[in-house]
Amino acid sequence: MTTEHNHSEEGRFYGWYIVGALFFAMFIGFGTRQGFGIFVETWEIEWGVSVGAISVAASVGWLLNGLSQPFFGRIIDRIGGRPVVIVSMTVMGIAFIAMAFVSNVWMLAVIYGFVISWASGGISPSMSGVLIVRWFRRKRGIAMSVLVSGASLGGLVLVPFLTYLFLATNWQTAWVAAGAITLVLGVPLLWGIVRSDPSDMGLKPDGDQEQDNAPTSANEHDGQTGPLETTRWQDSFRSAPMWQLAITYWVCGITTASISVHFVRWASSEGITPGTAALAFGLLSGLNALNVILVGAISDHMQRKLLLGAIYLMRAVAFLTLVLLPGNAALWTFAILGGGSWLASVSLTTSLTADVYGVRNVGMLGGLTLMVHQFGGALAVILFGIAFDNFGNYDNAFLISVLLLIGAGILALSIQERSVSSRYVTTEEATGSLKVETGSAGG
Amino acid sequence: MLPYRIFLHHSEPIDPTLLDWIRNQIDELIGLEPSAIAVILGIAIVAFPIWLGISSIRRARRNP
Repeated sequence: MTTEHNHSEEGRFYGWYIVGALFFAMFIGFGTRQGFGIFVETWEIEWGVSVGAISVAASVGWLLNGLSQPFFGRIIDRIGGRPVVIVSMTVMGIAFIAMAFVSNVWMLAVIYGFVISWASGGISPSMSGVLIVRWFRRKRGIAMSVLVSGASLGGLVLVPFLTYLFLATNWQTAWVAAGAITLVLGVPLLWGIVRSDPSDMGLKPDGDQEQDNAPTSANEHDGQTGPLETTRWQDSFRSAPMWQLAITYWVCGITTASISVHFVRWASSEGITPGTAALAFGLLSGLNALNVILVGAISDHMQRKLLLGAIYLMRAVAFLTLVLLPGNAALWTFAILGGGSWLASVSLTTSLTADVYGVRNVGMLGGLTLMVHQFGGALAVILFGIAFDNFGNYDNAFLISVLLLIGAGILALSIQERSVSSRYVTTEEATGSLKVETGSAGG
Repeated sequence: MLPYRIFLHHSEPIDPTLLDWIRNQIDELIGLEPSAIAVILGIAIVAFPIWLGISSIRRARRNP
């Protein structure tokens, strides 16, 4: 009650302004990068190169983006998130404008494949999420979800904007506009609003007052130090939750990347028109944006592992429908079940990592898990293509995905959240149980 | 052989089929010139950061 009273006197908790600024950074960063595909055909004609050569720049960028995550994570853990997001956004804005001057595929590989993809790693959901988990404790789930929804909305709004600007003018103008919005609005917003830690402004997480933050029970732990927190990030991998979160996220990468790439091709193989497949994928994206927020809000009031496990199991059912149901029925069932189980895993995984391991090394740990996610996705995209070429359908690939998702669901549910999360136990209580655990493991 | 083309459909670039569908829907719904739609979407995009920035400044003035 005291907290709410103070909020009404001083206005909304400052952490929500930070969520808003980072939401916009994700909106611009992800939306513009997703617009890459708009210009491919024009570049093919103007530069006289194959789509394969242009695709190399995109694929290199995708892998570099994954590799950048632990790099940025380490920096954020050492000096805070504010300089990382500001510098990343500035570099991205300059590089967006530089894209207007690209005249061959090599320049494209350098500016898009390396500079933009690497810099965008600094404002990824995991890296921006590191800032959010420092500002929020009880509302970590909903704050993370709002942040992640910025990426979804960016694709749905910014890509049509760039397309129409391209149609009205030329592709160079579209990139300059994206760069201008980034530099004129995005960077000042981050500069003026984002602070690495609430203590930089004399605040507490969630806007709590000093007396609100005093622990009265295990559930009132400060939330900034995790029960399984370690001094060295490497030591986090000596405990089970880190492996459980990394492996489930790897499966997440496999199953989302493969569908992003192969969904339309699967639909064609089932005799479904590309337009209908696109409509279903649009439904999936729209439901996903709503579901991310909903899951985030619910996750603040129950064990996050239950939702994470449910999401993977629901996704397993969605994949199973692609094998068992006939074409159109599979398409729409998958769109609905898929929309209910897509990006919500991002906010849940980042929040759980912070709940268990605290905020000290959460940048590095979040970066590593996202890198694993991206590598799993890269591998799956290629393997799904090979499977289709060899078997003439995706059934085997989908069935393997079902098994992996069931495994991920069980693994997520097996996280002993009540024993290792700062929402339920203090560091001292968890350390005691960890000693027992490692002792019994012979370590 | 590495299927390069499929990377174009991945999370970086939006699926071109979905993009065409979104564009067709907007065309059917609004029926304006591309430049007019670009301006409308542009205004919608810049409105949020401007509102957020102003709110943040007002908050800072209220609580120096």
